[in-house]
Amino acid sequence: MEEGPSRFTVRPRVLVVDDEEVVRLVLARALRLSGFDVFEARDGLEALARMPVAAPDLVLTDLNMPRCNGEMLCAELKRRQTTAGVPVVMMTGGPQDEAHMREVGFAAVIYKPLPERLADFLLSILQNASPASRAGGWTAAPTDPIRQPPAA
Amino acid sequence: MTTGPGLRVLLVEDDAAFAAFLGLALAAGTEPAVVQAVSDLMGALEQIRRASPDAVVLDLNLPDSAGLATLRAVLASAPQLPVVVLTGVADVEIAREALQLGAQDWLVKGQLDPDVVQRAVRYAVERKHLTDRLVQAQKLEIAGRLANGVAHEFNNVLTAIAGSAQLVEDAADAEARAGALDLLRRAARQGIALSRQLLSLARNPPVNAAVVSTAGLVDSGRVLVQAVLPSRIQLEVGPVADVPVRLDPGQFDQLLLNLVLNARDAMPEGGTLRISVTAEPPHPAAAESEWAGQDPLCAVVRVSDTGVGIDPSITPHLFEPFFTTKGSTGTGLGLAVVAEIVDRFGGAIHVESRLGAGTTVAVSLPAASEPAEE
Repeated sequence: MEEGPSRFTVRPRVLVVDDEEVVRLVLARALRLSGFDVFEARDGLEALARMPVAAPDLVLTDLNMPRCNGEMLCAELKRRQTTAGVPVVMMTGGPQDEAHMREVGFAAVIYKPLPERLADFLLSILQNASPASRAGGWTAAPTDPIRQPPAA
Repeated sequence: MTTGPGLRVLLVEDDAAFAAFLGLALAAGTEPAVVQAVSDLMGALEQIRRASPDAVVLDLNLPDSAGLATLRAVLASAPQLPVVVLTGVADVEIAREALQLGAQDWLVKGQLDPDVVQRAVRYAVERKHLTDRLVQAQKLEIAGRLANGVAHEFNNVLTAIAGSAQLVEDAADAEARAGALDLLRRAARQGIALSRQLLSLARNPPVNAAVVSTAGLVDSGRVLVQAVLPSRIQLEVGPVADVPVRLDPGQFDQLLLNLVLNARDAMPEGGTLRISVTAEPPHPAAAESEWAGQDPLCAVVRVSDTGVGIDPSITPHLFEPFFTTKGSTGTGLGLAVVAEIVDRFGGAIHVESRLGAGTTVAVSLPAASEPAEE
């Protein structure tokens, strides 16, 4: 394994939100190996509660979860001044209305099964997060990281 | 099809002379049946198990069982079996109840000629086959509505499998490899559970009823239930009493999914869907005669939602085939099939609903007297 990502002098922090325990554990482990500091939450409510301590650079969340789903989580993060600049990436098992998801504030939508180079993809999102966008102007993603769903 | 010549008919009648008449009537004509006769319920249940007849002609009053309990016992042991009951002239009410319980037809003793007997048995078999096909066809509707959710679930499993395989490859030491393999196995087990449930639902023809535990049924059905529910609907499961019941697990899945899909559709804005199982005394209508006394419990499966509720004016039509409130998106077969399946397992169904507050559908299934099989 190569050492942690060169672009960052400290390990980037990611909050992984998924109600499927085995998916969450696998992602957390893989991202740790790739040089991230990983925090975990089982749904949107737990994620919101973890935000102050985890202080993630990026949130990677499942869409379909009990209590508070990924869309509600993203909308709430964008609404709060302290978290509005944190890029939120949605992962989902099926086709989504991506224009709507972008309006909600997602930086990207990725489709399960997840791409093998997930860590690189998340890093590219972090690197594209300019200071302006961190200040809240997050509507335009620089290089359109929204992935297309796999062909039917 | 078993409607050609040579139907195998089990005749259950303790009056030897009448049994002989019926035997001759069934064995005569252009399409003679192969008749086997027994004179009590124990013998009948034994023959049904051993010989799987195409139809049963059943006297309700036998040396070891009386009244509708006789029919219930036969249907509980073989829900798919077409049954024609024999009643006395004054027993019209009992005959009607027998039809509601799942008998296909009745014959009045003393008013029989051979043609009538033959026709009744043949039509009974034919009707039963048609309802079997209806239940099976409705599974296609369920499967269509499941496809999206199941694909999501499989993608979750594949994410975990692909990710943990990569973890195995990247493992720095034996401990890390063991941890990654453990995750890989867990993910594979989830995929296996999902495909097992799909196959159980799709199985055709249905297996003979087996004695299974309600807790096991709800536990294994949960994976498909979860797949059809959007995140705006909260699933709560419990309490789940563990009661042995005799039924076909695939048909139970079909029943449960139909109720869950209705509950889901009643909550377009989201809400809470609860599934529970409680052990309760049987419904008063089912608690009669010595046979009922042996199985004093029912498993009552409840599916509740906090949705729009059912307009009281349509309640009488809920179980009619092709009755739907979903316009072109519904076939109107869901609850009709639920009622058919509940009938097969000797159960009863009860709906409680308040407009704007939600609906609870309670399915009570008679507890089996023996413990659940593995």
